Amino acid sequence: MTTHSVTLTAKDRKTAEFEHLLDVRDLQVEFRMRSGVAKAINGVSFHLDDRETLAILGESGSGKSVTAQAIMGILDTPPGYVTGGQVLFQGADMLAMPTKQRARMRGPKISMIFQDALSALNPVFPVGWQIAEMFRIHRKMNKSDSMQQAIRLMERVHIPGAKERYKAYPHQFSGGMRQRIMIAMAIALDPWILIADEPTTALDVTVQAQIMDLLKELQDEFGMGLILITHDLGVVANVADRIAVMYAGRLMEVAPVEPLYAQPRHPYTIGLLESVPRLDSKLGETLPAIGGLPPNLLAMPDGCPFNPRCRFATDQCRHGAPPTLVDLANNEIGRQAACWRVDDADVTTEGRLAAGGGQE
Amino acid sequence: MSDYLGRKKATREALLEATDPTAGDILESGETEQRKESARSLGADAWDVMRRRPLFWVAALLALFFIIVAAAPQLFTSVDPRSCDLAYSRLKPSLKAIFGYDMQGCNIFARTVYGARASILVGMGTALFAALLGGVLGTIAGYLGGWVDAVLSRLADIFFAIPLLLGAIVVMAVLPITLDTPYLVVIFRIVLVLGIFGWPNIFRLMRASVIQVKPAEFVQAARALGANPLRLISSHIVPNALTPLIVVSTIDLGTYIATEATLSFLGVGLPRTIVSWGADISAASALGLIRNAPHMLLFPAAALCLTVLAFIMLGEVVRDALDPKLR
Repeated sequence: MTTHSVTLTAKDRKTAEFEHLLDVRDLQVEFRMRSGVAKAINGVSFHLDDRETLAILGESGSGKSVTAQAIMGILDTPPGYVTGGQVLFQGADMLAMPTKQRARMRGPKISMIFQDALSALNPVFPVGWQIAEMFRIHRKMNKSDSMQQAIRLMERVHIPGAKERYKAYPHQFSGGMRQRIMIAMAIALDPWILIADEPTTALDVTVQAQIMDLLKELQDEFGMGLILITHDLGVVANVADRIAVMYAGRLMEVAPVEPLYAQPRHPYTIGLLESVPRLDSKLGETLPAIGGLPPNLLAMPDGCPFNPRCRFATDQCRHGAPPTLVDLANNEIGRQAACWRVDDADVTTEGRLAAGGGQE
Repeated sequence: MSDYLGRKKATREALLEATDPTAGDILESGETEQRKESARSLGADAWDVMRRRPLFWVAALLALFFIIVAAAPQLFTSVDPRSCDLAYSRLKPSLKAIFGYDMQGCNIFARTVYGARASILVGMGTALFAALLGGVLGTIAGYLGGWVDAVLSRLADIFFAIPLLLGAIVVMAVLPITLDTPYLVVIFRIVLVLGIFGWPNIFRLMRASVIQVKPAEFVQAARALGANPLRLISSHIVPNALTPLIVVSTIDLGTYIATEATLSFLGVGLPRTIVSWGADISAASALGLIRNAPHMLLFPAAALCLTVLAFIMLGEVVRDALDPKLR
């Protein structure tokens, strides 16, 4: 199995000095535009442990990708500004670091793969050259050594005929193969954390499964923390350890996978799970959907951001400060939700119904 | 009998030999074709498109021909363009001098051949200088944006507002070249003057191109994988933004050659001591000469036209080949 495994540098795993591998605290990001200030991220807090997979789930425009960009420090400024919070990597705040020091962390410490691998690869250079470049710049390897390493990595991500395809250009690969190349580049420097921003959205279903399997495999082999950004509930269920549900730049619910699927606690999560097609639904039955649209970031509703679309909303939800993410009182450890009515009977019942029709 | 058999065997072997290698050849060429297919860059694609167009070959060979003439004029004529005999003044083309003689009795063929050097040097030098200056400043302005972009863009606008020819005439008239200035210094000064009025064109192009490429996802991906700004520019932004610069520089090269000829024609460009097409055209267009000795004007003018045409055509072909939308 490990016939062509890549030589790894031993990571210095001293985990005692810090609580979590990555700890994001009260992250705030806004976009300053001519039409106004859009608060894209409003106090997002979560953590990632070593070798753990955290899925950030949310619909388009919920701030998933912006969160990832803010963590990586590749937010386009202007118009995007990180206005508050901390991003602690092994206990050190990356937001407080000088630009140069932070840039050095990208690649060897935190790395990222993107949704559309075709546009994420440089069209004018061969793929092998692009992978080898990682070794040449960061490891100061010479040309032939870096080429050997690149070919080994290409074999590791299961690219058939890696040696022959070293000199091929991105447009000559299929979507799945391109994503494999992108993954090879991202893991080249053996990072602690890999952020995957919708890695399978542009791919067809069979290839999606292959890529997710590959990511899982590499995570075990390389020992990485994985942040998986997606809107696909199916992908998440198989791969993630914990899930963070995001809506309008806020976390709605954070929970380990199984408890979340067994009983979603936040009305938004309930709505999401209800809208998944099910085998036991009757023929001709309309698929449930969450009514309405995500809020305009320039004109957020008063109260909870989800209240206009929430069937449980009360006056408390419609006015005043939005609910904050709190640990659930009489529930499992590690579950958090941001909802005033999280413990009310009708919400919990609906949650159980959404999860499995209540037959369990 | 045995002789017959032996001969037959030999024929069969020969036949086999004759067929076998061909089969091998077909296989091999198929393989190389495939290998070529798998390692195809934008440049290789463009080359494939270009080499199928006759216009490319005409333009490229013509340009190459003039470059060779400029580099080694003594290969084409053994006559010294400066050894003139007034006895031959204005003689019509003949077998002895196929382009005829000019006013001073100089061999026009020799002068046309030797005149290529000044034109090609000025054209290429200016194109290179403008591409370098405009390219570097354009990249800086496009990448950094903000006040750097604003300052550089306004600076370019100022130079852009002055027409190339007018600006060059003014500068050359104010700082005239004397007869004893060395050849390369003269060329260099004209390159400098034309380049200073020619770079804003390239600058604007490069700036726009860099701005277009900069937000591309692969640039962001490279940043996420740890590339520093210098690396981003040199291996991700510039290689992807260079195409328009190459195309326009090639087309502009022709324009610079024509402008140099115009300057020399007006008497503010290359001095008479340097053999150049512009100066010869100027001398040939004196009063009454066009009717009496049209060959004096015809040959240097034709050479100039062909050179300018060659480079402009080359630029157009390259543009067509590199632009996927026109394919």
